[in-house]
Amino acid sequence: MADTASISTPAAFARRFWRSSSPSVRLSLLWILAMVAVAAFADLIAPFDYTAMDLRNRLAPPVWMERGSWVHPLGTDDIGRDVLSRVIYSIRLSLFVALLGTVIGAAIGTSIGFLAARFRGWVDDLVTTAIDFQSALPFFILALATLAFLGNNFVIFVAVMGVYGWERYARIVRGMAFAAQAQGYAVALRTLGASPARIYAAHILPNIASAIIVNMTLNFPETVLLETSLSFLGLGIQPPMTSLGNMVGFGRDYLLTAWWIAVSPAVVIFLTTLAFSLLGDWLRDRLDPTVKGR
Amino acid sequence: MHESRRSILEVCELSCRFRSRGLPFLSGSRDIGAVDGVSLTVGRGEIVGLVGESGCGKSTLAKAIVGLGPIEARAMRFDGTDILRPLDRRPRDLIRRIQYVFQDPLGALDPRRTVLYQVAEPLLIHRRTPDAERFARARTALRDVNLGEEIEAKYPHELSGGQRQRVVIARALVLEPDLLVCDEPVSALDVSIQAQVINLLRDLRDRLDLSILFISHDLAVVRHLCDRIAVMYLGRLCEVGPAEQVFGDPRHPYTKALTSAIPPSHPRLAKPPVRLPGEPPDPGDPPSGCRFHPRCGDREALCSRVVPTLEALGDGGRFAACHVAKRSTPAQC
Repeated sequence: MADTASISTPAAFARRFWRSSSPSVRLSLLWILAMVAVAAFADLIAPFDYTAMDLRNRLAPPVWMERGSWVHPLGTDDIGRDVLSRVIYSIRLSLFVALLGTVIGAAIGTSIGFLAARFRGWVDDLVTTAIDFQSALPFFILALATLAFLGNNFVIFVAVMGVYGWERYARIVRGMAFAAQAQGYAVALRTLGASPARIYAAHILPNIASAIIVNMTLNFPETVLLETSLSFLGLGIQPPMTSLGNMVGFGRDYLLTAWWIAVSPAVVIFLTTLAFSLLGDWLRDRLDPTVKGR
Repeated sequence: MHESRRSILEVCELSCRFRSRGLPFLSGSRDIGAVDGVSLTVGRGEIVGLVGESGCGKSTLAKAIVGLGPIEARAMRFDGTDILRPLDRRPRDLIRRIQYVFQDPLGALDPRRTVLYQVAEPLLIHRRTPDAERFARARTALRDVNLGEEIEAKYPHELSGGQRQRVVIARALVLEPDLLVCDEPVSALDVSIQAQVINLLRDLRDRLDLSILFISHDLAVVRHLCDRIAVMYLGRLCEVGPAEQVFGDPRHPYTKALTSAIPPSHPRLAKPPVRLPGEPPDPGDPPSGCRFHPRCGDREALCSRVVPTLEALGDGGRFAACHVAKRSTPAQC
């Protein structure tokens, strides 16, 4: 806790990262940065538009196979759309949805956790019950039911992503806020006349932020998987928009004849979630004060 | 109470009770009276020391005064206004005028904020100064407690114990309080730093006409710093009086035992210490009558039956709650 506060310059931060990380963590960070760059510059990198069809080159294989060409490095799908371009745009959309979902989930969970810690009594009982209820309920079923009943549009889909995992944030934040309230600095601020809003937002939140950030990095890959699973089942991102999951879903029909349509996005999903999990694990070990002997 | 016109804080029969739950089904809940019927005044510009052993209710009393924890009292007044209510129901300006200094300065500071920010923050909370002046005022407060510019951008864990405690005092002082309640402010510090903080408090009292309620179990510190002393035992006051008189001529048997534990200035002046038999009783089940009687060498039959009240002992502002001391005092002229 204490030494993270003294990290100030980016150079010092990079040095500390290099010293404390393993090769797999470094590769993970590199992969995540690459994905972020791809998502940010999708328009510049992608050779084609993701809806552009090349009907004379339908089901073209990737470049290293027979009949492959550099025009479509990862081949084309059944109506001649460039797989590489579609993967690039899918990364953008999937990462965006997962990021939005994670941030919304963190915000909802943190607020609810703070409410429980602030008001205690029946509010706390209600929140605790809701947390237990949510964690006992398979979220995937809940998401399917919500999307089936409310219909699917982008806003509802992102909202469902946002609700995913709120109970874990709420549980962590509630516990840590309870602990922080009993600490001297929170009591001291009360005797100085600080409002509860100030104590929570300006003091307790920065002190428990590391736990929330770790939970976000662990929650992020799960949100990516939820998004891809729902899209695979056809209840997620709808065409003409494209996401990694719905590419896999549509590629399933050609798995035996044109495997590259499904495998390219699947590899990206696999590597991205793995990278986030590794990085999140490393962050948790780094920021957990009880794991000091590093 | 003859000084009530000049006093800044008046506490009248304050009690703090906690409910102890015990084991479910096996033992019933019971009330623990941590503080029981304590009356105390602090005059303007006066330093009052509250002494007693661990667990006697000193901190509970201090917290009750700033509005933390349970309070019941006949009256509690600060500068004439009623303050018999918890912290979040007190007017903001009242909160500002009574400041609390914690025993553990590291815990009382936010580990992730710089010293300057934390000292300036109370001004932001109370909107006492325009934004531009806030940090200048915080710097002045830091100068007041003899801290230099070099610590302004530091974090609490980078400071020494004495520096941290002075930061906590500076943070209380920016609000220009009238009363400082110091809860064992020096017990976590080593001796040379204790002296710094104590001299600082005395100096602040002289310059700012601050009133201080100073809580400690360290008799030498209290003797050096305080004008008046209140001795507490198991939730009740047993003796109150001017510091030199209480230490020089203690009247209550408990105070006698306490003062005999202070090392003398010369070995030849040493008197045999008064040893108290037994342990302090359980505050959840206090002895009948005088709470001190099971450990008292002078006890009489009356002591186990009648609760002694804090009564004037004749000579100038001295009070004791002891049947024996009261009787041995010559009648007031």
